[in-house]
Amino acid sequence: MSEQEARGQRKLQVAVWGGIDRMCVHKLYVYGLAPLLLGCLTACETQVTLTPTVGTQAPPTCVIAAPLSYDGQPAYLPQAISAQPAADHATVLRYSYDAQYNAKQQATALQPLNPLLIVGFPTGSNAITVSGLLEVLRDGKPVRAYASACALKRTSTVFSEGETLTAMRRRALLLVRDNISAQVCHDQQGLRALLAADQPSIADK
Amino acid sequence: MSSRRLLCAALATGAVTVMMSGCATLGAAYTPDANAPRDKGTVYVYRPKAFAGGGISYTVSANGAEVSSLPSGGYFVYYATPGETEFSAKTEAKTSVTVDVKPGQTYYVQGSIGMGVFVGHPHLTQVTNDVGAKEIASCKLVPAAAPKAVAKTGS
Repeated sequence: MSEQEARGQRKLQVAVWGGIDRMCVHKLYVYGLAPLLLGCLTACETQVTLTPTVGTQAPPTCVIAAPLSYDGQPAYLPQAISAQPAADHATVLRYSYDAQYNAKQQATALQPLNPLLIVGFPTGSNAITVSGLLEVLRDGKPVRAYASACALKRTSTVFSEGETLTAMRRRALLLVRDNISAQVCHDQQGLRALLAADQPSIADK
Repeated sequence: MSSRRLLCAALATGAVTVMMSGCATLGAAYTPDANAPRDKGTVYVYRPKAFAGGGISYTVSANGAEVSSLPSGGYFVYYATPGETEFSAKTEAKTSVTVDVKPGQTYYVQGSIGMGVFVGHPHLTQVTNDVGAKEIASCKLVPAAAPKAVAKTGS
């Protein structure tokens, strides 16, 4: 191989490797930073977990009129239950719910040192767990229960705090309400039988 | 030259004034409230002392009506009517937490400050009574300040 040919081959190698380097840097941006950015952006969405899962189809709609003991907001009561006064009934329904908050913030003093904040790296998270319980009480003792729990979690960034805990609580309470409604409607025959045993005149709508 | 010095002095004075305005004078150390009405719930809203964001103070509202400012290391007591009470605060971001108040019960709402673009983001969350009673012990009462605005309608 002549000296001229060797020089040409060297130039070709440099050109090829230079191109590959440029491609690698380009790929690093595309395959490295883009998913990171997407991950940070999707982390802002509120994650919802609801249990139990009530079938895959839309639940049947029903309304069961029954004596009820409940002191919360009417909006959070399962719509499958139509409240009647609880007096003079051995069998009553009792609905209750509870909300637990869990907020975590990363150390604020160290955050300015994190360059990823500018692409939406999470600065903290808020979580709430809401549980609802509908009990059928006969002479004060539970004979049947329908329970549901919903957990919502979202992360915050320097640009957005996302949903407030108030909004998350309301959303979770409504999801729990609908879930218990669906459970009641799936089991409406059994529930009606329980209620009818106590008060035959209970009207089913 | 002297006018430049004058400008620098004016800017420095302004900056110090702005920074010092975030430092509220706090009152007495925490003592459990013994005068709570029986038909209302007692809500302690407190903010543990922290260096980061310590110069930022924000106003806390209850059901839309401004109640008190909440500086770092401060607390105040709010007697809430039974039912849902929404506590909120806002700087460049809004935070709010709803407490389901029952008469005669005690609740703790913890405030903090997080990172923001231009100013820190306020955070309010309800904590358990064990955590709240422990953390509020090192806080001092925010002197009763007149609400800045007329009460708005509840959310």
